Amino acid sequence: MERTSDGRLLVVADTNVLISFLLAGRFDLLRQHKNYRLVVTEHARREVTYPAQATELESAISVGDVDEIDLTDPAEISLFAELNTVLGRGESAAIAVAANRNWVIATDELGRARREVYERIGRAGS
Amino acid sequence: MTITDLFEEARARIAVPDNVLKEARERRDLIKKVAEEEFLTSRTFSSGSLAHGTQNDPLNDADAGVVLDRRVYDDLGPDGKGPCAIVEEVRAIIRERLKEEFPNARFYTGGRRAIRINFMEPIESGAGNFTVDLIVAIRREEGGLWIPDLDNDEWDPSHPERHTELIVDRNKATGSRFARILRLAKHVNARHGKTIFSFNVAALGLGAITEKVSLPEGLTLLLQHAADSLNKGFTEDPAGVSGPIKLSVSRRKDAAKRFKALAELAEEALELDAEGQMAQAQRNWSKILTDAIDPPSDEDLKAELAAGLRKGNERVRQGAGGMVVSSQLGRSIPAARAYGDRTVPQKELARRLKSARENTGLTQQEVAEEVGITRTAVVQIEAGQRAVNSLELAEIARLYGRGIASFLSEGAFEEDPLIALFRAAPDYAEDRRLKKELLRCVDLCREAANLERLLGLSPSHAFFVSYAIGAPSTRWEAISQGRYLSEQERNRLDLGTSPVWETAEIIARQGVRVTEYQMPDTISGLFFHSQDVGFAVVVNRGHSRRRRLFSYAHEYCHLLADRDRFGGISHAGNKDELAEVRANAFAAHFLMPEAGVRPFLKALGKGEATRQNLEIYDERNQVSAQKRMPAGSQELRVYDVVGMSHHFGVSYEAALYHLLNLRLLRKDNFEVLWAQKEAAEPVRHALRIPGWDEGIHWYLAEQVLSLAFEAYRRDEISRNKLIELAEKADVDREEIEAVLHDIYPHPEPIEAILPDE
Repeated sequence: MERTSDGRLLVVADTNVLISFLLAGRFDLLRQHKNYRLVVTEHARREVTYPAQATELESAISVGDVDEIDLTDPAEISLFAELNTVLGRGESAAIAVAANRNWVIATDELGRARREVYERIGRAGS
Repeated sequence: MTITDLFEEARARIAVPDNVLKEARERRDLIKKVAEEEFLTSRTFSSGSLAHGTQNDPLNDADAGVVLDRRVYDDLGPDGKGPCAIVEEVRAIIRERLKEEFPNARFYTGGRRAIRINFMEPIESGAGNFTVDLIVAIRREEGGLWIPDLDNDEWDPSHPERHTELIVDRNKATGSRFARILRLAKHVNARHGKTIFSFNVAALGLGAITEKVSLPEGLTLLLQHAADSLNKGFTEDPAGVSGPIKLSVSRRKDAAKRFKALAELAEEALELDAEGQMAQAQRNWSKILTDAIDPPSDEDLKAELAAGLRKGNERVRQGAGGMVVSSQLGRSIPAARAYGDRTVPQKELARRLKSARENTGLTQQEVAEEVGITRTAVVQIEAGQRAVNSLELAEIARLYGRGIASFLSEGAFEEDPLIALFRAAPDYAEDRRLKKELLRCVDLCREAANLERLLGLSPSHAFFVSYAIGAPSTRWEAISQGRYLSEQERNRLDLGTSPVWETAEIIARQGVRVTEYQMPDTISGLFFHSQDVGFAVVVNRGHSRRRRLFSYAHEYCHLLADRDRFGGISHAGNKDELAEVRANAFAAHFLMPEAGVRPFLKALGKGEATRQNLEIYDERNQVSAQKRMPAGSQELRVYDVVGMSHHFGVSYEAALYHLLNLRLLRKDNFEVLWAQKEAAEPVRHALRIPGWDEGIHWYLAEQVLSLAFEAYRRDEISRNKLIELAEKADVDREEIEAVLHDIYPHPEPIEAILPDE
């Protein structure tokens, strides 16, 4: 699994995880986590639509607490396209990044999304 | 041909033509000259790739700077006024000076540092617009310049002039090799995700290329250095004035990984070349310098590999499938390893994107505005000069009415579905609004077809009936065929002789997507079908419900009998075509079957001959009986036709014509009733015949979302995909979330899984 230079695990987050923490007013827990460095895809950022939540996420990105990435690698885009036939854009992008770059994914989805996570990335801890 | 020759050819392929370079320099210098004349400046300077001699084709921009005289502008600086006001002043004056020569030019702040002058005139026909970025700077006591940070109205230290000096000097010291290698490296960076800025490539090049080397060696050195350097940290400013070059941590890591893989490929290419394995070396270089060096031919590669195998070359081994492969054939950049085999090369992707845009009739500017990127970006993407990201691709695919995968998957790039549709009706091909609506429709139909596949349902088109009936050669034949088809179809559907007001419903229940869009008044409807999107009928939402009912039946006939065409538009201009005549006859008979019309009229005491004779024979003689109707009693009146049109759900005019064709109306009677058609509405009102609810329309939402809810229930799609589909069908996210909450009030608990640390 990929880590930053300060040893933190790179974690790509699905939209629902972001929204859950933003809604609870505890996004600070993700911004300054000592073990994980949070990365969001541009898709996920766009799916955070409530103004207050979007502003906080933007702020976290602009000060560098959270990294934003986009998918330009043909392999990643190809996987994204394949996943997007059954999943939303945000979760498709997050899984494509995690699978392709060997990063950790943060997601709280069930059903098809979780099945894709297990199949494409594997089940950590097992 | 040697590897050196291939590199020379690659250099030529990415080079900017001389005439473009000349014009670019002239435009840049014009801006500098104006700035010098209008302001008290200490100097102007050129920077960026044009000044460094490291520009690649297409050249769409140039960089320049003006250093204001601090004796005059003594209030500016980090301890004084910020740059926003003076930059705005410079912008306004330059605009004023250039407005006559370049009346269409636009002047705005580009990025967070410069005034961007977009001449709105490509240097070459077909190229993108050309821009010059002008930085307004002031001198910095400690060396270098203060340049604007317009986002924060602050000044940042930088030394663009020193950057140019460093690159130009290094180029001289390496016998012009440095700039050539940098240009190749910039091309590699652009073709492999453009993970770092061009200036970062240049800065890394300064650390890597210190002496005269060959182009393949130099590029290898640069890739190795980039991988090592980016793995360790950010690239420092070569002038030592500003901070490290900006890059996110994840992007830096990603770039380091890619450069490492590319460097390994390059190292191997050098070794292969040294061993005389030219084709294999070319194969590696073609992977690195995509689009600039072509891959070797299969014949050359196989011959060389076979020769190597015969010689016992350790680099060559026998593959599991008996095929001769190199031990390194599987090596590629890591990101492309898992799925790259299924994707098309960037050049092909660019070609597909351009072709799809042209098919939709959208301009690059319109695409840029819809997608939220600059026109230059669209130009570069279509030229294969800039990687398209997944967000852009998803938006572009939506805009073009295609699936994202259609741009990426290997195999033939299918024709845009609408091209075939508009081929026979070119007058409507320029109607942007119509095209946009139809592209959305095609997209939703494709999603519905995908849901059917996920649910294991037979594709709607698999069993949809088709009649192998030849093309009519006369109008008479067309009308006869239409009538025959309607009778067959009514029997098949067991509709009896009853009215079919719910024709749209009948069509939809057979798996045909049915919907309505606002279209030009001259279009009544259209149909299309393909393996990918299934069958669809689209009817003009702007027409009355009676007319729409007729149009549904009409288009339905096309789907039954015109399966050899992808689709077609029924409009005022093609109503005399035999296929249209047949479809009209079908619609009339399908909606008003003769076996239903006659009893209807009989119930009104109409539709029979005025004199009827009966003859009874008793084995010896005959006995005659005669019935005479009162004169004129069988003649149909306006209120009869109004009643019939209501009963069968068609217009007064359609009912009238149908009665004539069924010979239930004489021509002279028809003409009288036609002349009285204005009376139809008052009669309808007087008879208290209820009006049709014109608000009832058919939407694709129900047809797509009913499949989507079931797919979600079966875990075939995720909740977010369901919401995405709803939004595509114009149903709000909140509404769907509320429905989901009602259906599934108690979500499953989620098991927490943390990564192994």
